[in-house]
Amino acid sequence: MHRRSSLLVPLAGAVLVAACEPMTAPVRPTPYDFRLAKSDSVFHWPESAVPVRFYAEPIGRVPEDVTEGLRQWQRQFLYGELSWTLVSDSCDADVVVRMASPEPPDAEPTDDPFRFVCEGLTILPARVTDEDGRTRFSARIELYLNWFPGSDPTDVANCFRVITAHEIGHTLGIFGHSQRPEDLMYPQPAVRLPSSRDRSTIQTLYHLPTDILPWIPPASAAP
Amino acid sequence: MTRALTAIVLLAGVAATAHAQVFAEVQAGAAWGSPLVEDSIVNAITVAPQIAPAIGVVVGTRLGERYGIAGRVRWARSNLQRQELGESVTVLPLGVWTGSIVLERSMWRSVSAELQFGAIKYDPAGNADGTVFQDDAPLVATLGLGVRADRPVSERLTVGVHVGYDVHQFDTQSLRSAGFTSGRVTHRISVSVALRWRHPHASP
Repeated sequence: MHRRSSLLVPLAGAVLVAACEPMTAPVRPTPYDFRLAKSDSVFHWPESAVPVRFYAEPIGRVPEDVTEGLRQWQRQFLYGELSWTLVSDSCDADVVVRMASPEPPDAEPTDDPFRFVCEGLTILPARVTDEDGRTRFSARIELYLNWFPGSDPTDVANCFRVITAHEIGHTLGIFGHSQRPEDLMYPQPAVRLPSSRDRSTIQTLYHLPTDILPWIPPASAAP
Repeated sequence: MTRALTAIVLLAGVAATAHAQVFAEVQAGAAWGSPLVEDSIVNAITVAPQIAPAIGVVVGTRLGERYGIAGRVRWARSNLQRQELGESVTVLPLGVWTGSIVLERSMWRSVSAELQFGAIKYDPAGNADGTVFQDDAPLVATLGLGVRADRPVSERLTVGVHVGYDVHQFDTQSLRSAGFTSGRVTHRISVSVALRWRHPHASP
């Protein structure tokens, strides 16, 4: 009996030794500039505004590209900082994504080399000061996509996938650009997925206090 | 994972039946867990489960006068919380399954000590994208100690208080991808009320 009970002592010791091992926090790449030019303001969707509601115009692969872009950006977080949802009515949206040109040719994206046959533009609304003295966007954020007629359909699909993900980075608050072509937020992006520097940038952004609050739709505005 | 937990319970059950000195027990209580992750992004960030209601089922057998062996399955569920700058934000609901083999030894009167080893399975609910569980929900080994005090209610039934401690190393693929180079040692403490029923032929 004594032999058996003496086994408890070394096993308890093993528990305590295991309990002393430290965890090593990661070293993250230096973020690139994400602040709003000139004002140096920071914007991200605050906890009170998530899930962020996106409307993706049902043209071509816009809904699929928006969904994939949002998923890729969300996956750069670890601690539940961002959530989003797609809404079917643009009036209910915080961000509206539209095709500015005619419906693009029907094609599935591939892993072929990227060709610049499309473009995107994120329009930030004017900023206003609300009754409480806080700076706030005066309308929803809009994102427009455009493709160049005569382009190969597969090239267009590949381009939209990348450009949509890049522009979604802007809608989430990255208002600057990276200076490195391996980042998705490079001005002429050629990579499909956020890099470790993109990750570090959006993580940093979402742990800073936001200087600008999102627009409040009239229906949900406080009386 | 479910198969592993089931196997633990079945093994204990088979062993118990073979010796015909069986006991079965249900437990209900609460579990506290230390942070799963500590990080620093602009601010210090801590991610930990809230205190969770926990339930458990135990099947075991006596091994002589003072010893016992049992299989135990416990389940606890609460919200995983992110703490930052004094504020707490819910990340997602998180269930935790624990399957363990428990070695029990009577110490003094109705007080007994136990040593437990087994496995923990994290079970996040809903969409885990953007969380530490987005690539996997780990199954990890655990080791623990416990103490219990029982009081007979009838010839076959006892009610007791159980206090348990266990430790495991928390690690996920997402944390590794983000640059964490090791898992975090995580401690859990549970307190529960236990109702134990002994088989009529079991030793006293």
